Amino acid sequence: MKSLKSLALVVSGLVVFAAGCAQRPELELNAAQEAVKNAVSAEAGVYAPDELKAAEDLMSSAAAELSAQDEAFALSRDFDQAKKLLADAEAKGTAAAEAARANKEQVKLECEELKLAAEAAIATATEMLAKAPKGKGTKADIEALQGDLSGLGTALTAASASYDAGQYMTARDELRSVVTKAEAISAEIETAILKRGRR
Amino acid sequence: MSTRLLLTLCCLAMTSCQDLPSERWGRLLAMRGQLLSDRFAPYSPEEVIRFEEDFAHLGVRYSSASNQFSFLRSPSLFYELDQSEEWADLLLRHISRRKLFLWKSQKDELETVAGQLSMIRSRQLKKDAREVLTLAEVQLNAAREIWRRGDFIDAENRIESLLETYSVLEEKLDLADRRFRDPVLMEMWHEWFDRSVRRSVKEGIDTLVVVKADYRAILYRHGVPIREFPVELGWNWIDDKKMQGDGATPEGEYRVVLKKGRGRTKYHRALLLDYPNARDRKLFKLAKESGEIDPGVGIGALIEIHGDGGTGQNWTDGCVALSNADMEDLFQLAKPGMPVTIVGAISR
Repeated sequence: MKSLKSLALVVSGLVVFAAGCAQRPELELNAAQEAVKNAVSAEAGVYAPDELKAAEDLMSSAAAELSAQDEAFALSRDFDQAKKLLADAEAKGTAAAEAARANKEQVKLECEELKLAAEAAIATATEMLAKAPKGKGTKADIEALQGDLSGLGTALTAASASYDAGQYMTARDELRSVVTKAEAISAEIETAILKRGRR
Repeated sequence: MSTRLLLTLCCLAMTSCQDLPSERWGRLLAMRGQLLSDRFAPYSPEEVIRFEEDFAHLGVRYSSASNQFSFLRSPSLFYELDQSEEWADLLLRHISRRKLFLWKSQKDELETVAGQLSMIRSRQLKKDAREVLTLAEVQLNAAREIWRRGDFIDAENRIESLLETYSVLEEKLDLADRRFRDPVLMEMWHEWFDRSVRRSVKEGIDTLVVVKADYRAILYRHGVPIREFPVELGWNWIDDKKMQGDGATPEGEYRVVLKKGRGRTKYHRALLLDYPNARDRKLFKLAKESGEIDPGVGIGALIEIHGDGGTGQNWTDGCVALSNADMEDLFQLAKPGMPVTIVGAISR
């Protein structure tokens, strides 16, 4: 009888012990993981790398905290800090995804503007070259500058291909380079015309 | 007795959970997070996948171990944890070193190509070479931007494209080198050169030899070079003149047929040559017959040695241009009938 009482006491103790355990924040964990995953899918690594890094760092801290609590004495487990870290990670992950989408759209728009600017710059240079005085002394320059403009046309086609493939960062760098070069060529044409005028 | 045993077991169960190395596990999780990020994974994807497979296995073991009594845990788990942590650390270091290597090697490569392109830009190039040069310059600037962003994987791809373009450019530039090293042409040019110099000795007359590859005109007297003049040539300077308007400077044995002093030329002073000579006419006829030259195109004329040079470019339509001061000197020395031999190159 006495041993039965003791057993009942132990079982009651274990029930209280189990009930006293803090609940692992599985929902929060899934939500945070999903948010970071979404950020990666939204190409945050390319368009919002700092925001993604912040979310990933928080996720790592949360995982470490969760693990520490998992291994702690059941009655002393406290997932509050883990919950807070997971909530922060989820928020940062969501923010990274939003920032990535916004930045990607921004870069895309920038590409479209740059493409127009590049086309205009090439057209201007071509027009200037067509008006350049032809004759002995300028023929070589004109031929060479025509070569430059053909090269720019090829570079513009390559940049457009990057844009069509959705590689907006690369397309932006290529288009910027085309615009800069087209402007430099226009300046060179102007110099050649002035030089010819002084001959 | 059994109650005591039960209580002892309960106590053991309650205290056992503290034995797992949670701090190390947390560190490993943080390292894994870094490895899986875009900043690391793309630089060694296969290794990171292998690590991740191993980690998944370890994660399952760790998770089940946290629900076990400490005395039931396999010691190998601790060993595997050590191994995994060491592996993650090694991978992170390896990738960091690889990134550093790429940063440095790409920087050097970009600088080298930039220097070479800049040197090529300063040369007189034909239209097709300029086209490739401009494309290479645009690719170089884009690759630089990508490198500055720290995206060394994309930068590597862009540098690869740039180098492909650069090799096409080199092929186009080599045309000049190839032509001026052609053994058949070299033999012909040497024959002309030797004949001119011999004539200068035999007849005791001045002879001018223009060497296109060297941008030099050398005046020989009694077989001895007495003056050298830097020259500029036709805008299509590499080729031999075939027809009117091709911008090439003709190669052959000519003579001065007319001296044009002040007021008779717009290029300071000029020595008119007897282009086209018999050889030029013969080659022109053959080229026309073979359809290489359109029927309506002429052979060209008015090839001169004249002033207004010193621009640093090959700008004439096929004439040889000297600076006005040099032209003044040459004009004084030259006599009508003076032989002028124009060759592509000669080995000295």
